[in-house]
Amino acid sequence: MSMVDMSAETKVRWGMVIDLRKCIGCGACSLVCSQTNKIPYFLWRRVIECGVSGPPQRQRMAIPMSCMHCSQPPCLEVCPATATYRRPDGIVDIDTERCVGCGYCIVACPYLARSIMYNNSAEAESSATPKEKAEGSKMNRIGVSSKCNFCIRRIDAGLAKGLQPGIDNDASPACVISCCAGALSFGNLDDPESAVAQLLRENRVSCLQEELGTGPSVFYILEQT
Amino acid sequence: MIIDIRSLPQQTTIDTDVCIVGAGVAGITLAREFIREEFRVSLLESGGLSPDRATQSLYWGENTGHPYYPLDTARIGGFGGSSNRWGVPIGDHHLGVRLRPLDGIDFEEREWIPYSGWPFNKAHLDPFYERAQAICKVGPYTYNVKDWEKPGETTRLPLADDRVKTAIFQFGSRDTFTREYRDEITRADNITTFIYANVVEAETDSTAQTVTRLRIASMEGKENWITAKLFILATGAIEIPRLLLLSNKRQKTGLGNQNGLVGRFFMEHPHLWSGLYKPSQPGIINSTALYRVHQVNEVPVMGKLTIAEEVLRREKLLNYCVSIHPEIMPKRPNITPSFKVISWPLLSSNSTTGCRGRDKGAAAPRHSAGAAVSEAGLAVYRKARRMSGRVLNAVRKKKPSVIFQLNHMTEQMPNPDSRVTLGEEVDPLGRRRVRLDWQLSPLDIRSIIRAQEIIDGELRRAGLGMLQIELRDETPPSSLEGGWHHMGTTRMHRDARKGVVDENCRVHGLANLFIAGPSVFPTGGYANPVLTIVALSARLADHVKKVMC
Repeated sequence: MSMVDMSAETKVRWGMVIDLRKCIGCGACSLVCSQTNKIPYFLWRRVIECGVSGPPQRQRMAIPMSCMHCSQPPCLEVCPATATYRRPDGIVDIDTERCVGCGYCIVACPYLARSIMYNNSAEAESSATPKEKAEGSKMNRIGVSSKCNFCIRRIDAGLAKGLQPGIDNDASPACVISCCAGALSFGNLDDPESAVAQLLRENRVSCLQEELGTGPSVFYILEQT
Repeated sequence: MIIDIRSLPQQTTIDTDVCIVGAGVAGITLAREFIREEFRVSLLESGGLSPDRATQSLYWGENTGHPYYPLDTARIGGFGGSSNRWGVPIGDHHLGVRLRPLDGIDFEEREWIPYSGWPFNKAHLDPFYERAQAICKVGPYTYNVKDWEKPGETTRLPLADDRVKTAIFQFGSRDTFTREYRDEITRADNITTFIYANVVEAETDSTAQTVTRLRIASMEGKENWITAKLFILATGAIEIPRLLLLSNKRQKTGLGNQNGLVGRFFMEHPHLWSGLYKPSQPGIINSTALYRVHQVNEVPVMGKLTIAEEVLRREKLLNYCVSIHPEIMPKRPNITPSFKVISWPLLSSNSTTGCRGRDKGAAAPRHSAGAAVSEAGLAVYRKARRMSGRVLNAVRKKKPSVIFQLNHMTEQMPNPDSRVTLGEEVDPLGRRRVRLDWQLSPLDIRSIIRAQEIIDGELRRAGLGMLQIELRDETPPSSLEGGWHHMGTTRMHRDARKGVVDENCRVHGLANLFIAGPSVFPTGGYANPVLTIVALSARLADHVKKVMC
């Protein structure tokens, strides 16, 4: 069953829950993101350092950020080339063949999640072994808008094999499976039995800039008060 | 078995035979070596099964010397320890760490490097390095370049003589220690892992010659104890001196600190991005694939340039290596913005029709009514972009060239003033926090400068290009940083006046206290410390097995 068929029949909205009580700000998610998607470090996924609390606790706070895969994406509205689209399963992606690199979406995104990839990794382009070179050229997205797509290829390939995103590593975003603290969870927000839905029910949760009405699919678990 | 120590009643005393403090690379290696032995082993981990913020906060401390990473980010609590933070992408969505043994010269007493010299040579450690390779689940124990070259694809730079050499690094996955060995240790009948067990003090007998028990505290306010015949500290080169200095009831200066050496000689591998390699021809980039992370027989490896041992001796330098990182110059021009003006009128109809709610897929076709102009515009735009690219390439007089950025990684000279001490602030467990005063020496910087001059000379002689050297004087640049490689604070020496531990890693003056990990390194070479940590831990495990018989 293809992903689209499945979405049509069973209500799927992929989303991520980030437990800020667990995140130690190590940046492994950004590293693996850059490796998996062959993009410069921190381009799609970044970890914002928010400082350390006072003595005696001295707890450091960090916020991992990427595209929020909004249900009302401001980036989509402004795209003149219809390159940005939202799939029925909630993933917001860019058709790099249609994108003209105008940058309007970059301005529109309130989460600073988008950027133009001006230069692919020089290593991937130039001095790699023939196999790596071939892989590098496939990933060429220079000059167009670029952002996190929840590792869409891994999700679709995993679904095609009958795997479940968020449960099976091979069908989940690379950042999720690389988090040593277990701070990132991924799954179907519309399935009340999913781990992410359960996390949303049982914790104090917030989204970034909810007041803008963007309807993010990335949620943050905060400390209980 | 894994026990959350917070589930035990207050003031419980755990009795065991061997107590390992710290479930990082060294502690895990030791514990695995003890599986199926006749004695009972307790493995204490300050964090849980994975890292968490509260545990990290216990590592916060002051940096008073050369700028260094915040200390609560420089070490990781939780099963696997700092292997949780290994961060080199090694393919297939995995992160790992560079592995390489120290060189023969690193073990020698070198007259131009004060305090240098290990109690044994590399040949003594070679069998343990071989075991370490297997423990880290990497390739065979060979670092001979020719064993990792592929003719025509990944070969070393053809330098004219042997003054500059290529050094191979293998890579190990962090999953080995953070996941696979956790399961193995959990299944072992004779090993119990206690999580959230923070050792806050080591108590000794009245003569301060034998450790009798350790006091364990948890963030929830509980206090427990552990007694053992033998204790091994494996919490790294910052937390080990902290615990020894805090344990000062009998020995007022701290355990093992009768000669004031605990915490001194803190070493890192100074890392510095500085200078450029400018190849004589762009095609040279095709000869440098060996120097990037790539796979050979499914083993991730990479090469770096180093200086031959004879040259280090003659020039009186610290050991050194440099990695080269290609950069295309000038950056590929982004021609897209120049076409915004052309494309915008052709595309603008779409913006006025409104795109809110535009979805891709059967439910909401992407191309709505009125998009025909947009499609035409896009077609024109794409054609124009392709053509302009061809034209630009044809008329461009200067083809893009490649340069390489240099990332230096060098040995640090042992320096008694570079040290870990206790600060005034206390953590939530009532322990004084650490204060790190990382001090560099002129020889550290001089070695980086001179090594570049030597490499520059060899590249020119071989017709391969030149280095542009940026460093000019011996003042450590503020951009010089460490590699999260903490070493030397309980250094190894046969003489108790010159080292904290003896050649068997036993703390001088204490019959049953041992130390595993990089804090025992008298010198650190340039190689990442993990393989040597694992080799020394395997060696210590053999010694402990003999002691426990």
